[in-house]
Amino acid sequence: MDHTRRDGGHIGSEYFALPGSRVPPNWKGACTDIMPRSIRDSAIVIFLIAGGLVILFSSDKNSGGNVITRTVYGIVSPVQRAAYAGYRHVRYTWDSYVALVGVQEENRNLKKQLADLKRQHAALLAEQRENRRLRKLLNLKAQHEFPSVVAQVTGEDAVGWHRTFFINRGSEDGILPFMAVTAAEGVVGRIAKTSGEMSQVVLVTDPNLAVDCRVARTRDRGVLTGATENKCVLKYLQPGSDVRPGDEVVTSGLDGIFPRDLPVGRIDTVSQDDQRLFLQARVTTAVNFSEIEEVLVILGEQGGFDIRSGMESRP
Amino acid sequence: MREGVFLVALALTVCLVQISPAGSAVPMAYKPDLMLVAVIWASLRTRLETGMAFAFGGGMLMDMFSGSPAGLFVVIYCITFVVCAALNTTLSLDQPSVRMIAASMAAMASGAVILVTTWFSGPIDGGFLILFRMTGKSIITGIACLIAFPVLNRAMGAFSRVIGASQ
Repeated sequence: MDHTRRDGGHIGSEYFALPGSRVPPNWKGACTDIMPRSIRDSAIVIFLIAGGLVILFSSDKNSGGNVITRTVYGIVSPVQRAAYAGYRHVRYTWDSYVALVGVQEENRNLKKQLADLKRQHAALLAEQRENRRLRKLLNLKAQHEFPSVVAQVTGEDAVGWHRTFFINRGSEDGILPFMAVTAAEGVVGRIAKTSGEMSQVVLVTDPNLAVDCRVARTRDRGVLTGATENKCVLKYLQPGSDVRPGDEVVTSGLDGIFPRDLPVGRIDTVSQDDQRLFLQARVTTAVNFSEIEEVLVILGEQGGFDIRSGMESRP
Repeated sequence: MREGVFLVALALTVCLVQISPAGSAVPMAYKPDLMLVAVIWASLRTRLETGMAFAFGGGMLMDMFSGSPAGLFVVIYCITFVVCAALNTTLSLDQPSVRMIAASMAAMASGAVILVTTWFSGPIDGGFLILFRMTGKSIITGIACLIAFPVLNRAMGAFSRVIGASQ
């Protein structure tokens, strides 16, 4: 092969070699014509690195790519897509057939994990609801000026003919019969019987319980007794009173059991009683007794509430 | 004695189930009177003295754990026991249909007694709804009787096998 150029030089002069590398013997003279080989090679290395650094520090980081980049991308892209499609195909084949070994076991574990998570989720939701209810009760407790005890509803009336339930607090917590029981929404009832760690509560919907109440808007007084589920009757309202459906009924505080102005419910209908002497109103209680879980027992002495504040004149 | 132990355990179990909110699948106003069912069962299966003691004790428990005046359920259950035991000598109360009717009638009668005693403390406003509730509760108690009798028979049988015959 003839390595002689037209100008008399050698073709090998366009190449260079790193110091110590083997160079064909017939190139040697041409390479060393201009400068020593080692210096030239070092210069090239430095030039290229410097060029790289110049490009590195001078390029705009936010540019979408120059012509060279776009061209290279254009060339590489179809190949890269094909390669990726092939990879995906192989991966799919692997996942679909080969890696299925153990999937059943994994599926079982995942189902178990899902069941655990669902259980945890339900527990967290229950705690969240309880937290909300207790926060309401704490707010209510803060509003009262007298000591009170939070109790949980643990049982209901044994036979169901009466409207009573049981709470997990008793005489050891200072609870005595006739103490008022309330919830965040309003009046629940009063304590009927107590033992050390348990008490029975008679609800306002029980016919055996009567609560002295007022209509909040008109300040008319009446006696509230239980009638049916979540319903009560406000009796002995004065015939001339301007009581209307939708009016709020609150405790008067005159019975010495319930503090005054605790919400009891709202009036549904107003009618005359059988003897046509008084008006009576059906009242829907503020508390939904089928959903109640925590209550607040007001630790007032029997008859210990100051009833004078409830005897103010009409507005 | 052994029969008495079983009945004491039964009374406590029934009481716990009755006062537990989770123990009943129906609303409080319509839940079956399981103690009444147990008293009817006792009237057919046990001797008079132990059965009456069970009715008395069960009534005491129900009085304690309900809003009724003390002694009301004692009277109701004792009368129910005696009537059912007497009827069983002439009618065969052990047939499921008769048993169900007997339990429903007993529940209806006890409801009426409770209604009357409550009425004495003050007029009750409720009208037709109270009658509807009484009827519903009686029917549910009758249905509960159908389920409870085989369970109680099996429980008594298992207890006898483990502890020994009562005689």
